Amino acid sequence: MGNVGNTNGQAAAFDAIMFLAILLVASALILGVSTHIRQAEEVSEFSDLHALTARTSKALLGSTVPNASYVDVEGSVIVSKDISVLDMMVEELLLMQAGVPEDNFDGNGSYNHRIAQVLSSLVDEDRFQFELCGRYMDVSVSFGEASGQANTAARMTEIFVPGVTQPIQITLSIWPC
Amino acid sequence: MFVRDESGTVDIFEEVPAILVVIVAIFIFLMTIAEGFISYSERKEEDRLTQQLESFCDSVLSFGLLLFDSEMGRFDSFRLDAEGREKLHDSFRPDILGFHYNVTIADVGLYEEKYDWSAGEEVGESAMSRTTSVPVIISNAYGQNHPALMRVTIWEA
Repeated sequence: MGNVGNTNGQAAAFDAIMFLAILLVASALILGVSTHIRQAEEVSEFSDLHALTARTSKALLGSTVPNASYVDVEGSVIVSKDISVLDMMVEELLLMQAGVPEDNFDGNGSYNHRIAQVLSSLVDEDRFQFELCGRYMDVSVSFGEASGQANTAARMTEIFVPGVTQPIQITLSIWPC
Repeated sequence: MFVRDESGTVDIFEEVPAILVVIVAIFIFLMTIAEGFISYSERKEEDRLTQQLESFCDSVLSFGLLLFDSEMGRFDSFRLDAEGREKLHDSFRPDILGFHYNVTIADVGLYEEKYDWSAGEEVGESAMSRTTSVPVIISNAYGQNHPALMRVTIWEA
């Protein structure tokens, strides 16, 4: 009966639990470092987003459509052939500033319809959301969702119209879904 | 004088719970290290392939023999043919690059005429492959600029 009532077993268990605690802390540190590396990679993905936005902006604004139309102030339908997205936006903003209502650029085959078609064909909408916004003096036109997220990459193109000091600003913003 | 008691047996059984806890602790720690090491190795390999993909993608975007007016990212519809495919292959040989590739340009424009084009090999079944999609333009002699998506996939044999 010499071993009855001693605490040898408890002391060993206590040491083992301390050992377990230390190793759990070490494991947590390793997982923490791994998470830190992942966050650093997200920064890299953000720079990729900037490159994607720049390339998309260039392809979008330079692309042409076979035909696009709008209704002028007198009610006549004006059809443009092989017009680029950039030219459509510039023309639309200038005409809106001159008094043509925004509704005159809506409808099937219209400027706004064609711009939206080209835009959605170039952006992977399963992965990204986008907003294309054009501004000139008091008027503006936009396509897509309103941005505002922290990790939004944007690309602004400025067009200077001869005789006018205010530039036309066209901004494409892209962010992950 | 030897006494036939069970003190030795009792001492051993006192240590068993402690030993079990120590084994569990070491197991958890080793699993974490193994997980971290595997994750790091895979990530490093993926990063290397991703960098190769970005570099290769930029090279194709600025490959003068396919471009319109030598403008980066603006391809000439006239040059996107079998000859262009051969030129790309001659300039970017997989045995020199160290990886295989497939380049596909899909015309997503609103024009009836399409300038879809592809080069390289059929995408192989590889555990490690990388794909990217880049918006580009295909220009023709009629002043039309077709929007297109260039999809590049690289993989190691």
